[in-house]
Amino acid sequence: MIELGHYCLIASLVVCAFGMIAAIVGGVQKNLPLVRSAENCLIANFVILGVASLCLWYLLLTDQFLVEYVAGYSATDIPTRFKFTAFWGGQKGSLLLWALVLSFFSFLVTVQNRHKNRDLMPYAAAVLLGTIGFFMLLLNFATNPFETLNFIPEDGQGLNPLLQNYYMIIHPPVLFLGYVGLAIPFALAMGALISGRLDTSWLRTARRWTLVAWIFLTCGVTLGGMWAYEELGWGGYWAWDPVENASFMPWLITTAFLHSVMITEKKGMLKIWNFVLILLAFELSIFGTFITRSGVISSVHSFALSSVGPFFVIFLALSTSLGIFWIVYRSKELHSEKRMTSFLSREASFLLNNLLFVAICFAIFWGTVFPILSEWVTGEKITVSMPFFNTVNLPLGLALLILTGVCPLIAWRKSSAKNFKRNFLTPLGAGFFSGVVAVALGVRDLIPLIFFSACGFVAMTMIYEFYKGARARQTIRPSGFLLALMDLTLMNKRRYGGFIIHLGVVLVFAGIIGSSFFKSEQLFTVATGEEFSLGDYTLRFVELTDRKDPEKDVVFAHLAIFKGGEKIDDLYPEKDFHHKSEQPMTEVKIRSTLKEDLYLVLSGWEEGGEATFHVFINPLVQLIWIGIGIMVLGGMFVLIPNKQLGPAVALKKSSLEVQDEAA
Amino acid sequence: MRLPNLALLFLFLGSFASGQIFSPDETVSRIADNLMCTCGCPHIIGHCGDECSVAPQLVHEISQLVTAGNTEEEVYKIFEDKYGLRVRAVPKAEGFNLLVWVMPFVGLLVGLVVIFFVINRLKPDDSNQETEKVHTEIDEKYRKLIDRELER
Repeated sequence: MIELGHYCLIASLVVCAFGMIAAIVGGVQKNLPLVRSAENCLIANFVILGVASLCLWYLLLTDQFLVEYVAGYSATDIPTRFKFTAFWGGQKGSLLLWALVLSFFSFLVTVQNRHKNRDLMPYAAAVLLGTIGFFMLLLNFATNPFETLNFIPEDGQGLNPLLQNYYMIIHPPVLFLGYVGLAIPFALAMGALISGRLDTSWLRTARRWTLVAWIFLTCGVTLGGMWAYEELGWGGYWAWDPVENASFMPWLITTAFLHSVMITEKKGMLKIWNFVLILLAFELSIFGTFITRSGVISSVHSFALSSVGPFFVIFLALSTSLGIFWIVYRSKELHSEKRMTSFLSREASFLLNNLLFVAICFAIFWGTVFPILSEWVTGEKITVSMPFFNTVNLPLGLALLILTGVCPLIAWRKSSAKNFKRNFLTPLGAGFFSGVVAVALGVRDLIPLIFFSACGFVAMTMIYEFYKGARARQTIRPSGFLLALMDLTLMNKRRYGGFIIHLGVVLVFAGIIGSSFFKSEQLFTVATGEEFSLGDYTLRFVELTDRKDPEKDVVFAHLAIFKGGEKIDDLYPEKDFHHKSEQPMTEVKIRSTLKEDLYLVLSGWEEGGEATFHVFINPLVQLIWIGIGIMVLGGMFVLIPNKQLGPAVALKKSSLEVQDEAA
Repeated sequence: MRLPNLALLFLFLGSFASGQIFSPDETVSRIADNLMCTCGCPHIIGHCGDECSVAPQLVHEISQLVTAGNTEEEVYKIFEDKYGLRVRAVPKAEGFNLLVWVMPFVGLLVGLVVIFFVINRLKPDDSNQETEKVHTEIDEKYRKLIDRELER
């Protein structure tokens, strides 16, 4: 298996090199057999990397500790599911997973475009093969997962206990699906630029792939937050850690692109800007992998430090230069087809929306890399952490939230004063009402009040759009309101799917504000049988005991939870002492309701039987997870194709398309 | 009950929680939220996980300094002298490090200026105004028609 794995990596590199040359030559010479050969290389690569991955999984599941990676990230006593996930527990496996997922997506895009986008596909294939090739270079020469040791250890070191969590089974691959998904729109964009086929047909394919990547990124980033919330034991879900930032930045740019592409498809504007966003999103996805795996910036996520950094820097520089060159080269052919009429138009508000997304991304990028920059210039190590990101992003986030509500209310081309009054009155009323409700519920701080009012304003905008649309639909086809609403939503999945996503965004903002501004926490040291209170909760410390699991010793406390004098639950927060790790792990216990989370941490204990608990009450956290769920569902809804859509633009058939039809 | 050796680390925690409740006052919390934990993690003191035995010591240290009459800025300075510049969660806004605060807003401003010019450049010239006006009038006619239909 070890040899087979090695051979697969070498074969994949050879296939990438051949395929890339075939794709470029085939594209330039309009030679269909050569192009087909390159596309077959993409398909073959998926098979080869699939076999390589199966080899690594086999080695992990059968405890082959001769392999350095298996010895480093697995052990005999860890559960099978974690042996399986050890695949992406370290750098080498993660990079193989990247290549595997990219080869899978490349396989899908090849099959999808077998008979369309023919002019740009050779160059898109070349870009994809080049990207996979880069990872194969790393895997063959810098960080080979099949590398063996000089001896066979009795047991492996085991997986980092922080990663032995069910969110970690799914978080990395889902996030990778998002990162890697961004390579497809990038390849299509490069294909369009190089081939000069700049009509909107490629954009439609790229948009759908970007949406797929966006859905995975949304899920991946959220799963990471959920993991941090449950596993790190500090009562929060987002710490602006460099790796968290690295996963959030491509999400922001992808979201900006999904907005700007609407202007391009509807109005023929912002064409160059779309290419810039796609390029940026791809580079940021590579940057994210670079940050996670190079260890260049201190992070809890940088589980492995290695020498892959320079490779990533070279690849980032090359791919960025290539992208910029082709955008500049084609810039004259990317003129806007229509003109902007007014600053008070939906087009202008979309531009502002894009600016805010990019500004937030820039602020995060700047804060993430500034310590390195500062060290270069001043020679002193500094830190840029949570207070910076919170302070900078708070006003930008508020502006973005308000704009989410404003955009749909402004007319295309130009808004009149009458239009403003008619459209804004109801949502503004709802915003004011939300503020009043918040005050009545005891909110006194200005910032949360503004945010909650903004949430009410945006939510009403979305609901009002559904209402107005359904009423208008009823006048065209008389039916019940609900039927008209369903009809309307199904007829324009993109528009109303987008509104569903925005409703999710409102919940996320409400959850973030609630859990950030109204969180309460306290440290208690109590004896067995003693009671203590925080907020509406009274907790009784029943006992402290321990148990032995195969891979760890566990010390856990039994706490009875009371509310309003009635017992509502029993919770068992614990401390795990993994046999193969020197660091004890906190296993928090959370009692979740829509209103708030009761979050319990067993912090310590004394011989006399006293124990120390860190107790948090985190309001509205569940709204965040529900909101993100709605966002993902909205995204999936948008993905459902509209049957009535025809070909985007009928253009003269290219040489490759004629050959393809003849074949 | 068997207590693993590492658990001894946590005995330390109890010593800070003298009495039943340990609740650092607001100043201590605010200072702890602006200083990094020195255990090697990338978190601020207030957010360092409960595995960390260093964070409670640091909170205790801050508490003592505040009780001794030191101002917030003096506490930062004492920590900076003891643990280095890295202990500040955000560098002091002076010299080169001022850029960390300035650049995001400069970026936003530049973006706004660019948008202003883009919109101005993309705005139709005067010769197109008439056509635009006709379109707006037609749009308004349709809108009135829709409004009437909705009112029925």
